[in-house]
Formats: sequence, structure tokens, C-alpha cells
Amino acid sequence: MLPFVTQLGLAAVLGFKFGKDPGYAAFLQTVAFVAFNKVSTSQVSKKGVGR
Amino acid sequence: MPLTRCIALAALLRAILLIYGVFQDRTPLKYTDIDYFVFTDAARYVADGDSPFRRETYRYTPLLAWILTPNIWLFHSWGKILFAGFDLAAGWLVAKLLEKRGMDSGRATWRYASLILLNPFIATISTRGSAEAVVNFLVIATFYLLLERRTELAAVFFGIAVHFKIYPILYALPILVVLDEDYVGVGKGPEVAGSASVEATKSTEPEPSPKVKQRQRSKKVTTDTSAAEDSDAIELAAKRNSKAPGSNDKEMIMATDASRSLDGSRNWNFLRLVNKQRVMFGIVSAGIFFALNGLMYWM
Repeated sequence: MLPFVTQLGLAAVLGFKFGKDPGYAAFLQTVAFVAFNKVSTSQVSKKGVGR
Repeated sequence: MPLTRCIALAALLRAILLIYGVFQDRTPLKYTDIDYFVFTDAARYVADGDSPFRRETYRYTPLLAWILTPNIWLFHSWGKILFAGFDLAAGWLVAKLLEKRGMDSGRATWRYASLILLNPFIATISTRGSAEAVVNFLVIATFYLLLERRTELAAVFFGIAVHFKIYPILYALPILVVLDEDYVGVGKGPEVAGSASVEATKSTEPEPSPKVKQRQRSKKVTTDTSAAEDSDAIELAAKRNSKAPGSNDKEMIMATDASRSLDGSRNWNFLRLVNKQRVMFGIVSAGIFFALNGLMYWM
């Protein structure tokens, strides 16, 4: 649950802070959203990291 | 016209990729995206008068199946050409948007719009048959229409964009922030002659505060009716260029921060945040979104 809060919360805060220039704000929001994207496919947990 | 030439080159690139795709589709490793076959099957159901959701893995909007029905009775690659067309339109809009914000036409085209138009990554996305180009175009169109101050149309496009993919809802925040009292270029009303801010515009002294200067600038430019009159970025850039040497960047940040009022104090009066444009934008875009989603359930 916490990763989603971080992801959405950061995107929301960036949108509010930089909203006067909506293009720039949209760019920052997209980058933050994608950077904090939590990957949760079952294959990751099955195969393990670094094998 | 540099933009037309760039779009022609981009169209040529996509045409080459489309023709190449026809040949690679005959090998085991197909060029076409698997989603494209899903769309086409769903469009076949729609062409038969049925629901596109009869196709098992179709999890997209029924609008997509509708616009792809020419895949069935025209030719199989109609969807790819359509998505490539949306790609070109998005690139064109980006160039126009930058030009409206004051960037010179050649630079806007060859340095920035070319990142979309001549970019092989983006060209392959749409020529493979992925529908991302449509959402892309709709979001860029929303921002462009906001710059043109056609707010109702921007709200319609935004509603359709969120209906296609849910993630553009994030952009609702900056859009709602920008729809404030500075949006239409009119501040609190005409300044009274003899007041401090009007005196400052006549003289060459350092300006009173960034926010008031922004209002004065938009009022001055309104009488000139130039194309750049409502652009936030131009005002910001002009402020940056003409700032008196003693002022700092903190004022600049405070001018862009929506949670502060004129003199920099924190604004806790949240009722001020609700104004006619925001309510209208919210109602129109949400209405379109829910209406289109209701369509999904009816199908």
C-alpha cells in the first residue's frame, strides 16, 4: 500500500506545486509516476533477483 | 515551412516502417503487436453488430473497436495508418504549442517536435499497431486547447483521454491549478490610476511583486492583442529576463506556487480555489468520462 501512496502522493504534490506551467508539471508528474512504479509481476518473486 | 517538411519526413519514415511490417509479418516473429490482432477481432464483432467485449482479452474502450471497424471492410492496416496519423498530429500540436509560447518556428520543429516526429522508437510504437498514439494526441491536444483558452473543448478532450487510459487523470491537478484568476488574463479588475502598481508601470523602478507585475503585463499586452498575451511561460520568461538585479529566485518560485497569495503568505482560504472555470472543467470532463464509461457497460 505504501508504494502506491508514495507514487500517487508525489505525483499529486508535484502537480500542485508546479501547476502554473501545466506542461512542465505534467512532465514531472509522469517522470515521478513512472520512476516510482512498483513492479509486481509474479515472475520476479519466483525467479529471484540476480540469478 | 519547416514544420511541413518535418511532418513529410515523419510520414515517410512511418510509411517505410509500415511496408516493412507487411514483410516481417510473414515471419514467425511478427512486426505487428498482439494487441492489434485483439483490436481487429473486436472490431469484427462490432462490424457484425455485436459487443467488442465478446473478444476474450479485449480490455480497452469500445470507442477503439469502433474506429477500427474499417480494418474489416477496408484493409487490415487501416488502424496502423490511423495511429500513425495521430502520431503526426501530436507532433504538429507540439510544434504549434511551442510556437505559441514564443519559441521560434525552426527551433521548435527541429529540436523538439522532431523528438516525436522523427523518433524511430515512437514511429515503431504506432506502426506496430499500439493505440498509445491516440491517448498521446488527446493529452497534448488538451494542453494546446488550454493554451488557446478554449476551455470547454479542452475539458471534452480531457474526458475522452481519461476514458481511453486512466493515467492522464494525474494531469487534472496542474490543469486545475492553472485555471485560476490569472487564466483569462484579467486580474482583480482595472487598476485605479494613482495606485502604487500603476505608478510602477510608468516608471522604470523595480516592480512591486511578481504576481502584480504578471497582472500588469497581461493587461498591457491585452491592448496589443498579440498572440502571446495569455501565455504563462512567456510571462515567466519575461519576468526572468527583466528582473531587477536585487531580486531573487525565491519570488519566482512563490509566483508559481498556487498555495500562496499575492504577498507570499500562505493561503488557507480554500474556498477561493473554487471558481467557475474549474467547476466547469471538472463537470464537463467528468461528465464525458462517465458517459463514455457508461457506454462500456451498455455494450
